Amino acid sequence: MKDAERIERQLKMLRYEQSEDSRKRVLRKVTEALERNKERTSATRPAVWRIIMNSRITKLAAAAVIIIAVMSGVHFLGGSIDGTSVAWGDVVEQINNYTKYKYRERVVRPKGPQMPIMDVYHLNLSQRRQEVENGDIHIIDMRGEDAITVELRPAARKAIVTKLVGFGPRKDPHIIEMVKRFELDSTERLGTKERNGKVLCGFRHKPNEYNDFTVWVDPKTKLPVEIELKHPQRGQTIFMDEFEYDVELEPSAFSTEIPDGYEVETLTQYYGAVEAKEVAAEYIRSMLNHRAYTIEKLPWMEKTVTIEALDPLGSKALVYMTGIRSSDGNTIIIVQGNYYDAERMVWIPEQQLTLETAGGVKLYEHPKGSTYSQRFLERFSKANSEFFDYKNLSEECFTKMIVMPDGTVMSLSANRQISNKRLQELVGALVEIKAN
Amino acid sequence: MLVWRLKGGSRDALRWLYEKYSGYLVTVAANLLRDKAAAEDVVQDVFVRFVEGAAEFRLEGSFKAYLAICAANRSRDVLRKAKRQGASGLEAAEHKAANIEGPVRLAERSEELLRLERAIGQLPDEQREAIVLRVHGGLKFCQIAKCQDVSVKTAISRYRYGLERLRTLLNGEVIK
Repeated sequence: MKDAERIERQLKMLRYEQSEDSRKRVLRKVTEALERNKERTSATRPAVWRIIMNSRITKLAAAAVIIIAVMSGVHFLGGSIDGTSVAWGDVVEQINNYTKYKYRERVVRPKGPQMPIMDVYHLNLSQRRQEVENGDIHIIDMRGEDAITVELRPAARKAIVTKLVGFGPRKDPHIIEMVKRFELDSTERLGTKERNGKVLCGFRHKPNEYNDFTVWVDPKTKLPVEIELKHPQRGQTIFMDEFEYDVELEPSAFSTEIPDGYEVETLTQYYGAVEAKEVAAEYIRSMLNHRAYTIEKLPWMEKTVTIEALDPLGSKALVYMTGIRSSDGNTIIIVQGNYYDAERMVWIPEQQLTLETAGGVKLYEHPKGSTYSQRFLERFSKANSEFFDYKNLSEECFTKMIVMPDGTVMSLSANRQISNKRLQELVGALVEIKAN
Repeated sequence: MLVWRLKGGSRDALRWLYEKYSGYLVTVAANLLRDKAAAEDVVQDVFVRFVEGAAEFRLEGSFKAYLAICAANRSRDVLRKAKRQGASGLEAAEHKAANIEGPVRLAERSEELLRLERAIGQLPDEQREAIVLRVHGGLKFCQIAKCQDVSVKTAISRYRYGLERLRTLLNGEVIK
């Protein structure tokens, strides 16, 4: 039963959004149908209206009905006569009038590394620029088939360019775009609060267990002044304020070209299907931005195969999984990829150290080792079921993290437990793949 | 109130009803058809037909449920027609549908959701319809039964078997 409930919860997340163009097009068609219908019915309506309005009493009664209808309509729509509240539909309509805006964003986490404050600028619905308080600049461009993000670190003269294959073209799925899609009947009114001498109207929308939005709107402008997005599962809250709408922005500030003199690291993420394939060691070296490793054959290793596949952990990057079948029937997988480095995986040193070799290679426990090993083994099995059949998955499966002295990180997953002696031999057999 | 105003020809009422329900209906239809473009056409059909028949319309129960049932009926027609024509368009669109805009970056469509999307596409039509109407449409089983012209018991069975089949298709892995 619990599985059914979880599947139901995930099914609810399979929502689809209409594009703005489609929304307007369909509304236009439907409105045209309404007008055609009105023309058809008015041609046959008896001239009762004229007769009724000739009577003074019925004129006053009709006027009263009209006024009451207007007031009811305003109330129903959520606005108030004196203008201190605002209808959510009006807020959405007003936001839709602006494609250029800026705001300040900060992320608060009760624990763990804190994120710096950013000033965020939207040039249009597909281009964004973020200026981080530490001096870094991020450019996001989703106009093409492959979206591009650029992370500039002026202090280090370094740039990280990430190509998101198959992600675009699309509207930037940022918070304002999400806010526009709140459904009227599931957006709760929160009343008002005062901020900097203004009375703001609050709205709350919780589309699922992962996202909880609160939006504070200026009833005069009908635009958001503050937005708060809680991520209960991640234990973080994103605050957005200092909104400015229709600001002057220089298009060249949103260019993804890298300034001269920057060291460039290029990463690729895949948003479509990627077919797994068997690869050679030299190929891995050409694909990684850092050192690549292979494993020397040890007496107890029966067979090794290396496969390139999409990361089963959801990073959208390619990973290189070296499968090792040992003589005792175990299957071991060593995984490397461009996101596998000590600079990115800052959480590793906080984990329990399993062992350290004389050469300085460290092996750490992984907090979600069992789950992650299942995913790696499943991905490997799908690519090469002769090497490992997922039906043979063991409850003992685990994952550990390998940190090489140069900072390269790899993961080590295995179907069954391995003795520390054998683990020591395994990590000691890792050798760098050097150029020919 | 809005339905009453629409019957009177109010464009504002039409716009409000459309803004209120179109997103919901697109989700219902897209999950049934696995094709967002076809889903948008279905939503247009539903509203156009409602507008054309508004004068005679008598609301019994939930308007939202009424619209969902209309979308399901129309989607069924589209699927039947596609099957008669070889269904290549809709099935070929499945892969594209898997990449259409859905839950956005911060509420990201994860690998698990993509697999779930594909698994739903593999369900028999009547099971998928029961699940979509229940989960996305919010309909009661008696409403689903009426829509599918079956008994309530059959509607419940279709829903439960559909979920069970999803679980099996996903290798019994519980999605966290």
